[in-house]
Amino acid sequence: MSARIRSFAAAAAGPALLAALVLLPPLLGRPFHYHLGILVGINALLALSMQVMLRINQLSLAQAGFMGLGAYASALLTRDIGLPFAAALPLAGLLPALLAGALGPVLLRVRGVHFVLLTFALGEVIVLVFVEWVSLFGGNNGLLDIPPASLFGTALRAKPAFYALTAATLLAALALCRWMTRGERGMIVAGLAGNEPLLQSLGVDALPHRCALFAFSAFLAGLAGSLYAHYFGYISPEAFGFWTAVNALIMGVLGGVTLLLGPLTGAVLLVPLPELFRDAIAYQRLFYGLALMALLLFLPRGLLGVLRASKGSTP
Amino acid sequence: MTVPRLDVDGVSRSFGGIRAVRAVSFALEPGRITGLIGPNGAGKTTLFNLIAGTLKPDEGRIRFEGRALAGLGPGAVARLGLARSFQATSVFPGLSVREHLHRAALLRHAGRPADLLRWRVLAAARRAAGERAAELLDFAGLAGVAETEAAALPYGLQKILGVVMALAGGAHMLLADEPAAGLNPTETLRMGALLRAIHRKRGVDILLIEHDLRMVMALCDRIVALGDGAVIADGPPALVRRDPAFVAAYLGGDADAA
Repeated sequence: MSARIRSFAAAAAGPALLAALVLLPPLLGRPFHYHLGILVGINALLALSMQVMLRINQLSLAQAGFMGLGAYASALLTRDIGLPFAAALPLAGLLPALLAGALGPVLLRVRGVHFVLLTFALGEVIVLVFVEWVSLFGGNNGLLDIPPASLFGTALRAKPAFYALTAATLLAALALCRWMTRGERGMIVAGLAGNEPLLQSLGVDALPHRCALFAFSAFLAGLAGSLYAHYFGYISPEAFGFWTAVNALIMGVLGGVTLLLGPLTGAVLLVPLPELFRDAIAYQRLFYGLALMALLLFLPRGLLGVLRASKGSTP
Repeated sequence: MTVPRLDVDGVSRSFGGIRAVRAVSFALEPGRITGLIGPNGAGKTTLFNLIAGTLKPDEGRIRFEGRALAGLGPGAVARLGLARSFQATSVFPGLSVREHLHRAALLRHAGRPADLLRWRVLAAARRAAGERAAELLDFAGLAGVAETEAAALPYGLQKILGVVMALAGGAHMLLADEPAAGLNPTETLRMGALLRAIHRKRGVDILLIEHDLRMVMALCDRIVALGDGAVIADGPPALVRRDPAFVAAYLGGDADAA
């Protein structure tokens, strides 16, 4: 009987944690908390997109660039073409997904550090295009006056409303990622990570599946970009550079690379830090660096991984 | 004349300056177990990789049941019914023996990303895969370890699992890369019996790379011997073991050792 309770607790732990995190800003209730919640959600989406690739043992640093692509696409589609936000949001995901799908057959042939460097270069090229193509993307000044998100004719100007949109998008993305790791899809993801030659010998085309996952990861990053653009109403190239990708990576690793809620947990822990310790800005990076080193050294499977292991639900 | 099961025609492949496989040709009639032998470095595994689509030949053509394999990757070749097992034991981490066979039977139906959307096909394949896994567990004598994690099995059973997994997708031909390497005499006998049963009871042709010449001579109807990437002898076992070129290259001149 106690075993059944324990297995129920293990099954309920994820949804309970998710519900607690999603409900935190409304429970605290201040605009600042909603603001943090929105930032956490956007960063968690980006970290989730990176996790999709980490699940197949490929670290892509292009995800911040894909996020930028989604942000600029969403901004231009709504501001200059007058598309409703409800149409721009999925398009902001599809555009980077198409780019990733087109480049995947070339990029994904390489592995390890070479893939990391190629995606780093791709991310830099995307940002460079934003900087250099001034007439379309506004150069270093970026784009201003991006209209607020709106759904069913109602502008989501208030922070609680935008927070609800962010949370809904994140929940949908989590559901998609969960679907992706179930059934035959999960078998293929696990096989790509664990033993690709064996997977191929069983009749699976590895490269097309890797490309599909790369496109899916870019789709999630593009959604994060669209939310970012419409929340701030202003975007510039530097927001989508190397450090954005690295921060998302840190969040994912900190929370737990293989756990669905790992990226969100990492974002919850790391995103508020700079906002909360604005006064101690001089020591912030030092503290951040030391904390990160300690976490990675002592908790290599991430915080959620430790919590799960201590409950004995998974070895 | 019947269409050969496997037709290798003038296949060559170089790595840098090294010609690993040189103008290799042979056609395998259906219904045979063929041995592919030769010393280390003779090009056997490279030839397997060329047939299985892991490597592309520089020259030459490979046909499986009359169909050209040019341009097909390893997944597509496997889906045609040309399966392979690996020299080193090869398992998925954390999965039981039954899960391995289930996946092996199922995943060919999810070979391409678009296949994942054909849920009706997948649902049928899922049901069939469960039955096939159970049947293969019995066939290979693995039923007793069905729920054991594959990586925790003894080496000999892992190799048997590797061979049976290759069959799970309904292959007509098996490329078996050194199935007996690293096995003790008892395990080698069991592997030999399994390969014979696969051929006789399931009608699967086998192309066998193996260093254990006793096993090769006992199982095979025909032997293709490679030396330095080229075919140096080809024929029934009794003839090949007396072929001077084979004896010189493979046995260092001692014909009785075979």
